[in-house]
Amino acid sequence: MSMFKRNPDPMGPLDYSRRFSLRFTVAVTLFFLYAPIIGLIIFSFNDSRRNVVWRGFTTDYYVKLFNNDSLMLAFGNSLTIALFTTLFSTVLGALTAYILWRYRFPGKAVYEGGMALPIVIPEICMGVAMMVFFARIGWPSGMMWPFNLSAITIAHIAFSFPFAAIVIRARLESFNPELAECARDLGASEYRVFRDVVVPHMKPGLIAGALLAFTLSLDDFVITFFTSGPDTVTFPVKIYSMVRFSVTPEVNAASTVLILLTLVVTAFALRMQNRNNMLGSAAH
Amino acid sequence: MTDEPIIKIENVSKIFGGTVKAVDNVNLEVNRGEFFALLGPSGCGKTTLLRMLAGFEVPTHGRVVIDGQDMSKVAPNNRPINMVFQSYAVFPHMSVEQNVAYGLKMDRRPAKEIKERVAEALDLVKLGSLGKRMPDEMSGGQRQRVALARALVKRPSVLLLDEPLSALDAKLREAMQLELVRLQKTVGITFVIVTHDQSEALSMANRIAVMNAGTVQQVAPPATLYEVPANRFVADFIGKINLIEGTATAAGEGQVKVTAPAIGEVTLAGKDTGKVSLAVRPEKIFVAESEPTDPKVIAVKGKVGEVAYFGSYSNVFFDIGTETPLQADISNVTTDVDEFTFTAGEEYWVYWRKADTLVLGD
Repeated sequence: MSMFKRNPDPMGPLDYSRRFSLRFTVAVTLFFLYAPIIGLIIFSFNDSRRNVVWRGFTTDYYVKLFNNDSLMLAFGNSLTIALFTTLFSTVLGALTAYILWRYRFPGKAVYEGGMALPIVIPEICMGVAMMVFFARIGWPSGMMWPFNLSAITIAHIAFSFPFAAIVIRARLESFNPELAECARDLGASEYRVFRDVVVPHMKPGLIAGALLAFTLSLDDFVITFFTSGPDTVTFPVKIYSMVRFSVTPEVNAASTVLILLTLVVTAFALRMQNRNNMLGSAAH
Repeated sequence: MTDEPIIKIENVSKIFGGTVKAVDNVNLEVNRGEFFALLGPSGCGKTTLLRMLAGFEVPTHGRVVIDGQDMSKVAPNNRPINMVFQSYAVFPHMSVEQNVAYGLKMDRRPAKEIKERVAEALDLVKLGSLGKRMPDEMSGGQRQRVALARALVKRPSVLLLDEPLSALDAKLREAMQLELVRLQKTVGITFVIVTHDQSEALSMANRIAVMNAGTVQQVAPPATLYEVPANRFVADFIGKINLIEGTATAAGEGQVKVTAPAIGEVTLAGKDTGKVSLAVRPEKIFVAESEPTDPKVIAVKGKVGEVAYFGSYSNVFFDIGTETPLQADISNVTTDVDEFTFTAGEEYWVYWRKADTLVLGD
């Protein structure tokens, strides 16, 4: 009889998930990442004017939120901007992706890098640049709704479409060029090949790209802040201005709504992207 | 129907990037109703040639004539040909029926006609009951049938097949070989197949063009290609062959006198002179205990090296003093095991008929 009992399930050298150090790191990371957000959501139900001590559950602030006309107007603005941004970003992104995938032309690498620039340059720089640009060319302000949102929308398209282009381009990588040749061989014109074979393959990428553009536009603050005027306030900008007076549960409630909306759209985009990859691998 | 070849490839070259000669001045004619194979090692230009027939590549020089029509300015979608792609290229988002109907829809055929012809084509490839299936619910072999039906439904003058069997497993490949031959006989359309697999080409095609480094080495029916290869490349590429180095001088009346260190001096039918190879297939070599007296054979003494037993025959290597040993396929004609057991080191006379010996220049 041995004095020591053998561990019935010894830890393997690659069982990282069972190491204390790793578990601890993950726990701390998740805590700092999500505790504030969960706190924010919980306190949106707090029955108190000042948002420090928990005084009981209420949904009053959500009711208040939906009765706050200026906030609802900002929300409407945000949705309108996001909608147009999505539309233009997806079309522009798809065309850009297709050109980069299909053709070889001089300066392609430069173009590809230039296109992705809005992704890497700091948002604050882009915001300032946009503001200066619109002021310099004298972009008309004070037009009637929704044209007064045009400057913000253009700025949003500028930084959203590269994301859409990258997602769609990634999707195109899995396209079998023989499919296009085959359609051509069967009598399809260049346009019909694009419509009948390429676009159906791009579809999951198009949807994922569109949803990505939508969320990016919906919760953008920095660039919007620089391009919005007093009568073109968006949801995130409005929340910011509310915070400047006091952090009431109403602000929490508004933030919660924004988080939820973003979460739903992002989850949907990820699912599309997932299906994307699965379909891509099944085709080969 | 005319006797005019359905495909004429005239002085066609394809140069990629200004320097790489993928296809080098090829002249070929394919007859109506023929099962024609382009055979060669990878990179020999056979696929490029096929793509020029389909219109996906434009010849740098020369022209392609299909059915009497110069194809130089004709786009792929307007050519009287259809192609079965190596990956089958079945449209994944369309059902089998929609796949097959696609080409007819592009031709704006009436719906009723499309329906009839699609059903007919699916029956032809034995997929009659699977029209509603999606491609991802089908096996590789079935997808290939979809690709075949989709191309044949358009009733092209020529059907091009790019390595159609390479993605199938061995058993299915054999079945599909027979199937393709049956299909070709049924529809009577000219088939042009590209393959690197010689057994595929030999068993299916009426005529084969062997290609190497962008040029056509020989165009002949399978048996001619195997028995009378035009040069060393073809002899070496098709099947197994023994090549014995020697030098030849003209001996008049289509004969040459060949001197080879391994076998001495011999006069054979041939026309190539200078450095030559004497070529003889392994199955045409016989073994004897004593020196054969027949003046119509070439006989040399050989020492048994390696022996591989294949059931119906044994592949025996004899050292006859050449760099590579002479291989002979000896039929195992009796059940008496001792009769055909070769042991390394044993000496035999190996011989073959002069008439079976080819003199091949480079």
